[in-house]
Order: sequence, then C-alpha cells, then structure tokens
Amino acid sequence: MGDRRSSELPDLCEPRALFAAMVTAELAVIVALGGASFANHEAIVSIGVVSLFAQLIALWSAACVCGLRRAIGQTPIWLGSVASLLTIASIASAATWALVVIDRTLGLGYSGDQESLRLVAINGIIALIIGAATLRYLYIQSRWRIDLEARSRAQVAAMQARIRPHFLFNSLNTIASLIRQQPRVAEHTLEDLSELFRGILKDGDRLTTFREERQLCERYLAVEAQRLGDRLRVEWSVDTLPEQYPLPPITLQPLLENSVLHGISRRIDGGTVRVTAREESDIWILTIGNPPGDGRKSGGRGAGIALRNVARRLQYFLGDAAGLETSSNDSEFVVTLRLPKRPKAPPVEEGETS
Amino acid sequence: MNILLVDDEMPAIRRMADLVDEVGGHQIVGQAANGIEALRKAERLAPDVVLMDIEMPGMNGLEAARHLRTLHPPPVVVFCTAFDDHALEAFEAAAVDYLLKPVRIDRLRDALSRVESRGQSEEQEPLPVDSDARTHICANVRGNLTLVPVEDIVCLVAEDKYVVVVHEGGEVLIEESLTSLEEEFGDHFLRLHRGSLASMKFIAGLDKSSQGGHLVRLRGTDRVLDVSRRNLPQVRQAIKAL
Repeated sequence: MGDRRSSELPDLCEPRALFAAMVTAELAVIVALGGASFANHEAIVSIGVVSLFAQLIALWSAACVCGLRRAIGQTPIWLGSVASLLTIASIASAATWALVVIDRTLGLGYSGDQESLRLVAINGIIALIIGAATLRYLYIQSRWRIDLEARSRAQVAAMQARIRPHFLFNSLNTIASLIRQQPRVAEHTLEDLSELFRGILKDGDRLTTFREERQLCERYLAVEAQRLGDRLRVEWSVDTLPEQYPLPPITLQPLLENSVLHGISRRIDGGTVRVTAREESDIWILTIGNPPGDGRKSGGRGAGIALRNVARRLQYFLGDAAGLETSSNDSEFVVTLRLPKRPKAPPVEEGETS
Repeated sequence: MNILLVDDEMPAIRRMADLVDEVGGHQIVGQAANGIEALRKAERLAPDVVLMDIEMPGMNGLEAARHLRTLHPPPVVVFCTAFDDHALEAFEAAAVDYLLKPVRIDRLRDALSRVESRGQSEEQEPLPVDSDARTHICANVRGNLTLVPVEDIVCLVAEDKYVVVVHEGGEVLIEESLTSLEEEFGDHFLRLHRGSLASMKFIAGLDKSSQGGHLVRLRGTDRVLDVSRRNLPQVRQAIKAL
C-alpha cells in the first residue's frame, strides 16, 4: 500500500468512468428529490434543472480530477485522493455559489430562501461524500480488473514455463537416435517438436480454437509416439464439437501430457488415451480418459497444478458455465471439460464488464 | 565388458547400442524395458555393467539397482537419465555413475573405462535407500533371484538373523531387519509383535488365544500370529478401522 502512486487512481477521462460519474450524479439527484411528485409540471422542470446542475458538476469534476491525476501522478496515492476530493468539493461549492447568485439576480426562486453560504457548504459536503464513494468504487473495480488480467496472464506464463524438462530431453534423445537410423523420421519429429514449442510459447492473451488446440495436441502426440512406440495409442471421437469453438490457449495439450506422463508411460504395456466430445442441451462435454499408471506415485502434484490452472483459465475465458472435473476408477482416469455453447465474450478485449 | 541396456524407450536403447558399438571393445549381451525384466536378464546373462534408465514403468531404475546388488557378483550400474533427479544425488554419493541424455560418446567412454579400471572384485558401497518404498522384495534363493511384489506379502516374521517373507505364492528368507522394513513400508504393515509385521490387506480378524493372549488370523496363510500386549491397542484400533 505504502508505495502506491496517484497514477493508480481511476482514470476519469475513460468513457466507462465518465459514465459512472454521470449515473452517480443522476442517482443523487433522484434521491435528493425523492419526495417530489413527478405528476406536476413544475416538479419535472425542477428535476431537469437540478439534473443539469448535477451533471455539470459531475463532468467538470471528472475533467479536473482527470487533469489532476496526470499532473500529480507521481505523488503518493493518499495525497492524490485528498486533492481529487477537495477539487470535487470546490467545484460543487463554486457551482452552487454561481447558481445562487444567478438565481437570486433573476428572481427564479429555485434556491429557496436559505442563506447562500449554507447552501454552498451543504452542496460541497454532498459532492465530497458522493465523489469519495464514486472514486473508491471505480478504484476497486479497476484494481479487480487489473488483478484478474494479471492473474490470467501469469497462468499462461506458468503453462509455458511448465514444459517438462524430462519431456524436452527425452525428445531430443529420441531425435538423436532417429538421426542415425531414420533421418527422415528424425526430421519430421524435429518439425513436430518445433511447432509444438511455437504453439506453446506464443502470446497467450487471445482465445484460440478447438481446431488449433487439437493440432497442437497432434504435434505433441507425434513426438511422444516416436518415444513410446506402440505403447501409446490415441482415439479421437470429437466430430460433434465445432472446429471453431473458442478455447483458451494451451488447454488440451497439458491434459494429454498428464495422460501420457501419469498413465500411459507408467504402464508396461501402455494404453489408449481417449478424447471424446458429446452434446448436452446447452453445453459441449469434452472428455480425456486414460488407464491409470501402475505402481505408486500416479497423479503426482504436477498433474493437480496443471488441472487447476486449466480449470481457472476455462472459467476466465469462457465464463462460469465452463469448468473442469476429474473422476477415476480402477480402470480409467477421466478429465471432463464443460464448454458452454454460448461462451461469454473474450474478457481481455476492452469493452463490456458489468 | 558385457553390457545390459535397460530403457523403456526403444529409440533410447538403439542410440545407446550405437554409442557402445562406437566406443568399441564391449559387447551388448541383452536389453530390457523395465526394472523387473532387467533383474531377470541380469541374473541370466551376468553382465559386468548395466546401463539403465531411471523412469520406467513397473519397477524404476533406482529400485532395480538396489535389487541388482543381491546378485553374485553384482553388476556395476550406470544410470542414464534425461534430467537431474534429486534421487540421483544420493546415488552419486555412493559412487554410482550417471549419464545425461542425450548421452555424449565421450562421457560414455569415460564411464565405461572408469568401471573397467575400478575392477569387479572391489566391494561396492552400499546403495542409499531412496525416499520411495520399493515395489518388490528381492530374495536370493539358492542363487536364483525371487521377486515378491510388496502387494502380495501377507506377513513378515523375524527368525534368527533372517526375516521370513510370507506371500501368496509361498515363503522366502531375506537378510533385512524387521525395523527397516517397517520404516520403509510404513502404513502398509501393522506391527503385531517384536518379531512380526502383518499386511493390513490380509488381516482377517483378531481372536483370543487359550492362554488369554491375542492372535491375528490372516488370509492366504495358515500362520496365526501372536499379538503382544504392548501392540494390542494399536492392533485393535487398526482392525476396527478396516
């Protein structure tokens, strides 16, 4: 907290924040005039006039606070907050004073017969309270969004860093062996490995498609097939899932890698990894199943981390209807992905957030 | 020297075979795809050196290396692994060599000549117990290796300086202490007495003996084991939880 700067205050020049400020001002007007009846003509006119007044204060405040934020961005955040609130209060007070003067000069009677200084003080304090609440709300919302994006980005980075050293060196060893015996196969395996790594290492902010995810998996499985030979068998029956279905990057490959690492490669006779898709009212169900590895230590800690990571990113990118579950019995370990048919819009692209 | 190659990946075996050929002066007498197969082949082929992967299904290389020590004379094990493992550090301390994959021919040549110069007669240092429990117990029965899966062991009974391993397929003697076995296999076995451990899996029930003591019945054997007064509370608790 101590080293936060005023530049972290919400940017009131942003359309979203500006809109929030205007809505807040309008709400304040409605609350303040809550007792007035909307039935008579006079009340509606007075609501209009007061709204105009409040919106003027809100927009002026937003513009000044926005300018202030740019000017004093390097000062500690508490100083910036106090300065912003004083600015808002001063604008409200000044506007009130101006209004009262104009009103009394023209004899319109909107300001009633209260002492003008009293009105200025009351409006200043109201603006101070509403301004503080609005700034706080915008601040918390922007922090929340920044945190969420950072977390999601960090998770992609973690997936990228998660390339298992064993896999890399075993693959290189396989290629070293193939170079002597079957140079063409070695060449293809090297191409598969390169494409796999290029896929894993590319920018993880954008949604990709099921088709691309599947291709990445095929590259991965091609490399593993060279290493494990006929111990590794794979069955895909995923025709029901549209190829263009959006998926977070690096969703399926870690799941298949878990299947190979903790299942197939830990079995003397290997086994079959089954990937299936089916439709259920408003979701797609994608499952990845493998026979459990024999012996101890199956499904180690690495597996759990990858699963949690994929689950979190599915929800972040596709909404709360998306998810990941695991189940197991003596003969199979299954990961089930729930993919909503109408995923929410990709959150990283600017636009909507409620 | 005669060399046995052990790896569950065919390309890895092929490459190692190529490299051994290139070094020259050694013969590959066989190959195996996991720890259990390695023990069987090593027993039959009596290699001087076993070049062995660590991560393998069934029985991994670290455990196979421990069992290989029961052979007379034991072969020298050189591990080949794709990545530095923590477990390797302990083996390195016991002067067990290892090679990192993809293996360089120079490193292989060095490792083999080190084995050659050290000679077979020299007593090998005892291997460290790796942090994981073994999957098998290995007994040397009149010169033949017998592997008993820990899962199949009914009970372990101390007799003189040996431990009788009672398993589903019979009984074998091993030269290990009951205490170290109990430490290694922790919750798999239950201590009944100073001289016996019973597999939780095979316990059938607790009876009163005619002398007023307690006995444990076991499935898969006619043996009935005494429960000492000191161990009775734990035994009762464990049986209740079954």
